Amino acid sequence: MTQDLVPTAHYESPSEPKGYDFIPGDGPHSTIGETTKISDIVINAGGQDRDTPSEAKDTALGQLRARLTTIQDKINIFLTNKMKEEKSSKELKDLEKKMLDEGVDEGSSDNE
Amino acid sequence: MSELSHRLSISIPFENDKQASMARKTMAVDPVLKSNELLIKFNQEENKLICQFMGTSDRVIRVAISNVIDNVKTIIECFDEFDGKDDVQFEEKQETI
Repeated sequence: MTQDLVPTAHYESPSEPKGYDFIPGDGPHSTIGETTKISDIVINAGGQDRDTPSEAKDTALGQLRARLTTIQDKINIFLTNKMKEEKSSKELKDLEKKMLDEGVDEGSSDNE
Repeated sequence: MSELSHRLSISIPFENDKQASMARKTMAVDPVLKSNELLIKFNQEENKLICQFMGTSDRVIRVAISNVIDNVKTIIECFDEFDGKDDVQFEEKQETI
């Protein structure tokens, strides 16, 4: 029996002050990551992923590599969503600013 | 320099302290590009490699951590293939005429 090697991660930022923990979970785990393979657009166009990783061996290190791929996917998806949230929030603030500025302009034009 | 307010740390356990030490030394030599936006620290705690990322945004953290994990996976695969195995001297095969 081999010992389980389980990676963990912790994230903190101004938008997540209490922090967020990542664990690979129960699996199944694979070395083929969802967020690290080439895009579906390239695959559908007939492209081949020449950097496909080898399958995980049934060893402690092989399973660690697969768990690490799972946690990598979770982190990538989490941070991509954070980036989208930040972009939406910025767009909302820009829109709000624009509306307020235009409101001032509109008010000014009314006085003319 | 902007504030490095986004932080992510990852703890990766190895089979023993020696593997964690080798992984840390291998990773630590890579220079960090855009050091005003990102800081990466590699530490060893017994058999664990601790990678700490401090960045100005989620974007820089995301790019850096995915790249580091890819490199660590290659190191792990090397250990899996070669660590603990008997040394083998490969010799050039002599062609017979």
